[in-house]
Amino acid sequence: MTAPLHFHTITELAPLVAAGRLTSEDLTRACLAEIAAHNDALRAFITVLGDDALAQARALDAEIAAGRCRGPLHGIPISLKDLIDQRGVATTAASRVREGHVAAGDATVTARLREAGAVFVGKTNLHEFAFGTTSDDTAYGAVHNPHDPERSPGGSSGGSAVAIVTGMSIASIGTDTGGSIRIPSAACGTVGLKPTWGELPCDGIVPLSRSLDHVGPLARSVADAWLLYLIMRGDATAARWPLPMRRTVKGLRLGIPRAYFHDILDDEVRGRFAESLAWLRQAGAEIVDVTIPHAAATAPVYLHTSLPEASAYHAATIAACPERYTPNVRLRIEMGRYLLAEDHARALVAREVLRAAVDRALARCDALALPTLPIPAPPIGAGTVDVAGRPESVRNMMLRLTQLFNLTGHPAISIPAGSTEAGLPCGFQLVGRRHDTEGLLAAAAACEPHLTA
Amino acid sequence: MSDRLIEDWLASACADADRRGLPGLKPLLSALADATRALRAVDWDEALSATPPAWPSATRGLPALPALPALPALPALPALSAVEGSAVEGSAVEGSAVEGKTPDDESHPGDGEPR
Repeated sequence: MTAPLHFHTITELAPLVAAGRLTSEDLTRACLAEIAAHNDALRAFITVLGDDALAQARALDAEIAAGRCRGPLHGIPISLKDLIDQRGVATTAASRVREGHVAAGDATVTARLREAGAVFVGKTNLHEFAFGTTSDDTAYGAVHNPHDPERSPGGSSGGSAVAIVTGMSIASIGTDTGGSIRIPSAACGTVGLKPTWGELPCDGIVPLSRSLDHVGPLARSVADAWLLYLIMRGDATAARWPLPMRRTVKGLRLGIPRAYFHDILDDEVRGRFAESLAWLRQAGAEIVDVTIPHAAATAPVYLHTSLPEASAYHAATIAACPERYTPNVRLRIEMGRYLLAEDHARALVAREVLRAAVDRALARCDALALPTLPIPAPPIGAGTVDVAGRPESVRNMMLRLTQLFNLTGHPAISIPAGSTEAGLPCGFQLVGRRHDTEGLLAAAAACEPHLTA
Repeated sequence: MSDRLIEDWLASACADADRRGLPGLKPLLSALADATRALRAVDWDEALSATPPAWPSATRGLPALPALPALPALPALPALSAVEGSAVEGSAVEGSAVEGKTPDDESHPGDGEPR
């Protein structure tokens, strides 16, 4: 290990903590020092739990000294997106609407992580109410991308991705309604997993669109994401660690959906993705083309699904205190109130069609592979970006390759896969079969070394 | 709904946004109208009915089973009056009924109806 310890993975750190060679308190202090040094500039955290985190760490160190290790997450400092309840701590959702709120209890996923020995260092910044993909509409100041502070870290779980890249926490828990775990992971260079819809409990988490919402991990490796996923699922993780990783991509069949998904891609993103496929093919993976009929209708279907659900949740507060929302988020919530019920009903049928189409594509391969984002991280505040000589809406670009799998519920993961000449990360997205998130993780673990080499 | 009806809806929604002092909403409503046109451009019910199953049936492609041999003709049943005489003498059937089982009870398990 050459980098400071708090930049390493859980998989690397866990044996050191378990053996008493590294204390949770030292690890936590190192993360808190990074927050103190960089948070004013990057705005990754809304709430920092300095003293409380150190008290958690010391208690967990005492357990190790007494011979009790809870498992691989014992004493590891992590962060929670500030939509997720942690008892006794504010859940702001990055909004003034929730000023004064303090969570009475833990979300189920928080309780499971706590039981597994996680140390919570703080609550991370996000796009207000997760209703956006750039993390700049927030009551707590726009989050900045550490690779280029003039650029967005993606969103809505932008603070979570920044926290991992900068050593502020070893991993983080985010939410994903249209890509909000995978988008910042791609923009910042972390691993981000959206499991199959419904696998992880979303109680104690502020909803955006309940039929599309997922909770999941952002991490430094596929193995770390897998561990956090199992813990949040309520698995008896310690007995299964280390995980049975697939060691090779030989024989792994990856389906490449090109129509629609490759129609609008930044040239450098297209180049990195082609290189990734070439490396995987060289390592023995089989690459086949697949099609997903009606994929071009993804955005309208998503809009007519997510907007009414979001507007329903916010109906009371948008009526009572509209001025407390950031202007852009307020307008998007208002937009949902004008949508006709018959179009929402059409979208529900369309979801069935799209779900079956993705199922059919996956019947021919082990996983689908596509870029996570069609563009590198955009400048903060930009409404449009130039893609292959044409202006494109930033919002449309950010969601373009991820939101389909929220509509269909398939598990999907973003893995870092090189960067642009300017040093902005690119993400490689794999999509697995529904209810086989671990199959997807196994495929991702096999691909990972070929993508980050 | 036709394009004309979407135009009418958009005009009405924009007027409402103006009335509520939200002129910034009008470009979003216009984008929503475009999305609604795109959504309605597909007959989703037709697309759903035309959707083949993702996973081939487990039985598809298997060879056909051989035809069953014809059953021999059953002997003719005895006259009804002879059967009635046996039942009156038998206690087993009555005993079952006394224990609370009825023909309906016996037919419920595994009959495939949701309960």
